[in-house]
Amino acid sequence: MIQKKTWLLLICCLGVLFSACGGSTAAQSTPKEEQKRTVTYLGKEIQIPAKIDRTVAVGYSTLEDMVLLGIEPVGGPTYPNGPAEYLADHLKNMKSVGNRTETNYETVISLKPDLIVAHERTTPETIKKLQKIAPTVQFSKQAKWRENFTLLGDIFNKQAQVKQILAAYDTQVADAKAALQRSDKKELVVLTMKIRAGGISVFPPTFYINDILYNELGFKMTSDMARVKAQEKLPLERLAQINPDIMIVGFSPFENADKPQALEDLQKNPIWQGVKAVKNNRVLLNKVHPLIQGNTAYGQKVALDMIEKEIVNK
Amino acid sequence: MDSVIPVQSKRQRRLTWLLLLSPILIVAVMLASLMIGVQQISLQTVFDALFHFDKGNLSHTIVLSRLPRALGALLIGASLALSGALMQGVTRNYLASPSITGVLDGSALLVTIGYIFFSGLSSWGLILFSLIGSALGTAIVFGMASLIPNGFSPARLGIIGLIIGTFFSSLSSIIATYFQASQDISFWFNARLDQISLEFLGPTLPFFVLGVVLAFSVAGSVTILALGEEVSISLGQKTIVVKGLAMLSVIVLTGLSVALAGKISFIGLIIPHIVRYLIGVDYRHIVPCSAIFGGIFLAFCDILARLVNFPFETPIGVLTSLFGVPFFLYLVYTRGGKRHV
Amino acid sequence: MSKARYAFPLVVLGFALLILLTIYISLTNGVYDISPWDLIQTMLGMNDNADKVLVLTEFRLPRIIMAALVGTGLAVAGAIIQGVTRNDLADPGILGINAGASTAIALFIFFLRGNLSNLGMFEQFAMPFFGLLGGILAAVLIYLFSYKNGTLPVERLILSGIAVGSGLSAISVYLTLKMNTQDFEMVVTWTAGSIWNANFDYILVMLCGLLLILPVLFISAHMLNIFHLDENSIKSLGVLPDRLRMGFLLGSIALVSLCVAASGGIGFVGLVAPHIARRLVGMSFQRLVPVAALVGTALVMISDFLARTILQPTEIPVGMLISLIGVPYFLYLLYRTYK
Repeated sequence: MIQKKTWLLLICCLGVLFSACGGSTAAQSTPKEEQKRTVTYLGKEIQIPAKIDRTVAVGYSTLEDMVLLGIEPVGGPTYPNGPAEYLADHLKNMKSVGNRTETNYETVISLKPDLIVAHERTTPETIKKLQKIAPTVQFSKQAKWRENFTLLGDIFNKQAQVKQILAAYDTQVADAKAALQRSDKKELVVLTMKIRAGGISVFPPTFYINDILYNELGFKMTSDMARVKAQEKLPLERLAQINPDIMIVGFSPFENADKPQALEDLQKNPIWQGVKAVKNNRVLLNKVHPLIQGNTAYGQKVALDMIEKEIVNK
Repeated sequence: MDSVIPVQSKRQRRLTWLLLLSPILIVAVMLASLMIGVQQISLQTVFDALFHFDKGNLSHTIVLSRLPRALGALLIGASLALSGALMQGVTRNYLASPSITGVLDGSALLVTIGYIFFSGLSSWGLILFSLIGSALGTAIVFGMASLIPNGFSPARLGIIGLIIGTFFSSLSSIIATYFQASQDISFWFNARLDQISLEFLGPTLPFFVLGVVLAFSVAGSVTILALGEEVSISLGQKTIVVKGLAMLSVIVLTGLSVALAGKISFIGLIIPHIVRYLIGVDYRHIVPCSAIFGGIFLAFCDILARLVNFPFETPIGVLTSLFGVPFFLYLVYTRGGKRHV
Repeated sequence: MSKARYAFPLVVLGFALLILLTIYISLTNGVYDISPWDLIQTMLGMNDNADKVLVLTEFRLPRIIMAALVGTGLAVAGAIIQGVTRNDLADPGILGINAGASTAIALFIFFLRGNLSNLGMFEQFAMPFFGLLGGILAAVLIYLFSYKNGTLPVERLILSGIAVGSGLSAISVYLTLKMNTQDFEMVVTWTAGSIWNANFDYILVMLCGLLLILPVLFISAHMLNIFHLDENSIKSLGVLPDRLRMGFLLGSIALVSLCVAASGGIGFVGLVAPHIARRLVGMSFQRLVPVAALVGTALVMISDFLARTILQPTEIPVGMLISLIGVPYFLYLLYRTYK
């Protein structure tokens, strides 16, 4: 019958294309001979090229730590109007390879990277594709920020700098913790939240700022906070009951940073006005840039600095 | 003995009962809404707060802050139920309702545009955008439905609404995703009922009144329209005018609902059905009863939204869907795809 | 009734050419510069530039092939569903598969994603598999719900689909508002439908599935013509139409589930492609189904090409682009058809 023949014809055309590519992929499957090195990550060995001049980052969190170590990748993810503001100065020459969710492979390949570093949220299919372009290292979901940061140091031969930053961080935490224990500030109730047009959202204890507050510095965690497993919407009344002494508030980048609309509505609400933190003017607005990803050395340092300055030492 | 009493008076009696009970129910649900929450507040305290307000008493402040939320729920529930009743009457389609016919998505799109491109929009501005959006959605969906033969039948209107609704939400999605604001906007649409403040509620009241007045003025005519196009024409009705006024009411009411609290589905679908089941097909009765029960039902759902994941809030749409989906399925199961109620 | 606007072979040829043209344009355009000569060289296996070969074979070609497969699957399913439900506004989305799959994906991302590291090679199939499962479950639910005394009343099917779809999307909203922003955007992108991550493993699975189902459907397409008769005549034929209906629906569910699992929730292809096909070759199903397949292929290929080049280097999820273009065009089509 007519239609079967034409369909068959079409399949044949596709088949021809297919086989042509099959042939040519075989031709290029042997990569150039390269020097390799080994680094250890989470107990396993990873092979990376010996010479790394051009790197592409996938994932905003990857970018943060690279910038901290003074590495500028040739390509990385960006927001609609460029890289994140808090990193933009260090990324002037970086080309965009996509956004949070989608990476443009053709841009990556046109940048001819020696290495690709991807964050833990990158999907397996994406990693497979990236590996065809260049050797790819992916952070693991089981790793914490220190391990990822150390890995970057090993890859880019900045181990000394990494050690120094980590040591300084640990000292800073220890000092802050000690200072906290000595003073009565350790009794303060501190709450981290994000305010959107849709209300107040709170985060689980694993969120990076909460991790610093409750795990590393030893602030008290309310029972509500312990209950939060994922992002949850906190009613204003509950906020009043928790009655925190200090609130660390983040906004979406859409808001005007000094005059956020969502906050204005809240500020008129008497319940909000009655919260201790508001009355004592201890609402820390966007002190940490809202776009900072968690689980990076960069984010940890920025958050720790802020907490130390605004809470411990004030 | 009961079967001897004609259906008409049974309905008459039910109507009377309902109208008598409604103020009590409204007050009851309002009080419940004021009492229940993160902090349970006793009835006594509520009364104190309402009549002997003490600024320093936190409980009183809380009661006062719950008031706009309760009022808002009543208002929005009434608006959505009214819109649904009118739509169902005018299209003679038991499934017509704002959420299914893409009207809510239209509002949502315009508000997305407003949020992203006109940041710092005042409450009036957002309401305006929302109204334009629901007008747009209604126009397109009903325009399409009138083009296609049988376009207003339940299945067809449902599909048209789905298509247009998906179109609008795709558009909203693209814009929101490109600007990487999608989750923020999703919060805006789905989880905002608890933030209604008196300041925001105020500007919407005139619109609400307008919508209700329009609805009431058209109710009698809608009853006739619901009997069939030919019937109403032969009775000398100007169907265009009736439909126009009814749709205007729908646009205003859904517009303000979205502006206040985002997308809340199923109210416009369920409530008119229950009301029709109880008191018959006279829209002069259906209109006020739908409004009352819509309000009470949404306020009830709002209370549940505070309790389900205590102490955290659940988006109200989830709760209305919890009731709405089984009910919808039940309707489909028993009525099939037939057109009229 | 079956008066065709254009001769069938002409239409097929025309679309075949269009598709080949699209393949060519798609292969030679994009962020990375590829000239026609590069293309020929690669096809002959003679290209030394490994990067160019990579771009062609790993990034552009899989997308094109996947676009063809998905376009075919969705369009055929759409034609069948429109026939079976006797409702030319029906779209595979009404079967609830898209909604079921997106909710399953939201569930997957919310609960499971961190914990699947020991699947090795199969890890990349985990998410699509979940989507597949969710889609099929939703479809089966709707199917069971609409089943009544051995028949499958069509309007109940459509309406149940809408109901279940709304319910599932409420669950999805509930979950996504608890996610962190990045996961949320991943769910949105998936739901919108995107082919950007097509690879040959997925294509292989799709091909196997399609090669199993499509020939059966093509050969029995003429049986769908029964549904052109009016309701009473169909009933007088006895049990056969119902069995056919169920059989065809199951085939469609299988097709759509595969497509959705591979490329997310692309909508409208199943709605628009059969319409275009109908205007070109008439209503007879043995002609309609293959032409719809061709139209669907062309549609998705062209849209995917546009989706990745319009806002270079940012990509628009192809599903969004198709609905943006598809809906106004569809409205125009309807207007013309029913004027």
